[in-house]
Amino acid sequence: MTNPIISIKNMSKSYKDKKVIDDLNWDINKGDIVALLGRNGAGKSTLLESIMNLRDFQSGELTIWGDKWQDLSETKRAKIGFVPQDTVGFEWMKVKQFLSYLGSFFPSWDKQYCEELRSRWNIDENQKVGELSGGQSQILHVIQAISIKPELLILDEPVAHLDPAMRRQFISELVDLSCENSTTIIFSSHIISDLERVANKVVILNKGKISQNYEIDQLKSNIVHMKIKADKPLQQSEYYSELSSWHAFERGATAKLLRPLQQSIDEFIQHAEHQIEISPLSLEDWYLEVSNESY
Amino acid sequence: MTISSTINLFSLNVSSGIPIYRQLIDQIKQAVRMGLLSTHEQLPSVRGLAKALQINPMTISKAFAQLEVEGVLVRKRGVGMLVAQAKQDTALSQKTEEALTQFIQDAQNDNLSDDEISTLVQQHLSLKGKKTKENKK
Repeated sequence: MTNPIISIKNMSKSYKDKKVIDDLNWDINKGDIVALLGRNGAGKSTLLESIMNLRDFQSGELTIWGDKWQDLSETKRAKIGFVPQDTVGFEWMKVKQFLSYLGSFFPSWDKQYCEELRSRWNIDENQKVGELSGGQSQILHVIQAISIKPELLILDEPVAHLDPAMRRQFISELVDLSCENSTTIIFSSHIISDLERVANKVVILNKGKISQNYEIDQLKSNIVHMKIKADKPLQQSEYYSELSSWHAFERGATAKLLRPLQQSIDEFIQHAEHQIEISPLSLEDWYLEVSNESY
Repeated sequence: MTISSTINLFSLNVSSGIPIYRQLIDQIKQAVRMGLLSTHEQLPSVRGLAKALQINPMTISKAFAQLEVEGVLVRKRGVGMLVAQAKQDTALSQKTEEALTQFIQDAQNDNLSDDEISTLVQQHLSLKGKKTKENKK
C-alpha cells in the first residue's frame, strides 16, 4: 500500500462553541478523484480550506505528501492547485493580465496549455475579470489552477455556476488532467449527475465527520431497491435490520439497501426466507436517502 | 481500431445504478459476440478511450483487467489490448439458441412484453438459486 497523498488524523475545528470539523480522519491516495458531498453547512468548505492551510484547526494533524504545511517545500506547494468557492478579486485586471500574473508564481506553469484552455473555453483575453459571467469567472479560476499541471487539485463547488454543457466540458478537462498527470483531485459538489463519470470515490461529510466513504463502483454494485414477497404484511425483522426505508405492503414489503453488506447481495437474497427481487439504485437516490437519514 | 470508431460501440448510462466499468465490460463482450470487434483486433489505449468517453481512466483499466481475466481480451506487451480468440463456450450452442428463440416466441404469443420476459427469466434464475441451495441442505 502506498502512502496517502493527504492524510488527516483526528482533525477538529470549532467556530465559538459550534463544532465544524469533528475528530475527522481521512486518507486520500494518489490518482484518486474524490467527490466530496454534503448538505449546506456540513463543513465542506472549511475542510477544503483547512487542507489548503487557509484556515487553522484546533487539534489533529494534516500531512500532504507526508509533510505538515510548514515543512512542505516550495516546489511541492507549487504543485497544488486550488479553486475556492467564492472567486473574488482582480476584477480590474484583463483576463490575460490575470493569467500571466498568477502564472508567474508557479514554476510548472504551462503557458501554452493555459492559452489552449482559455480559447477552448471561449474566454476573451481582453475582457476584464470583473465583467465575466459567474460561470466564466469560475472557469477562469479553474484554468488558472490546472495550468500549473498540478499533482494535487482541490476544487470547492467548481460546477455550481456552470450550465450542463460547460459541466461536461469541465469533466473532460479533469479526465485529461488525470490521464496526463495522474493528478489527485478532490472536488465538492451538490450535483450528483456527471460526477460519476470522473470520480472513483465518493465521500459524504455530515456534521463535520465523514459519514460515508466508498469506491463508486463498489458502492453502485451494492446499493439496491428490494421488493420482498410474503403472504402477509412484512415487518422488518433482524435479518433485514440493515435495510432502510422499510415499507410494509399487504403481501410483503419494499426496502432499500444503502450500505454494502458483509456478504454479497446474491448471498443475502439466497439466505433470505422470502423471495426478493432487486432493482439498481442510482447514486443520486442513494445520496438523497443517506443525507436525509443523517441530517 | 481507431478511437473515434470505437466509441460508437458504447452507450454508457452513467447515472444508472450499474457501475460504468460493468457497462463497459458488457458492451465490449456484446461487440465481440456480434463480431463488431473481431479476433486480434486492437482496442484503443486506456487514456485514449478515457478521454474520448470522458470517464475516469481507472474505470477503463478496471474493465480491461476484468475482460483479460475472463479471456475476452489479451494484453500484448508494447501494443495494448487485443480481442482474444473466441472461446467455444462463449458462443451459444445451437440447441440453446433454438430453445431461446422458441421461448421468446411463445412468450410473445402469450402477450408478454420484453420487460416481462426478462423479469420472468430473472425470477426463474433466482428460484433456481434457491433450489440449488435447498438441495444442498
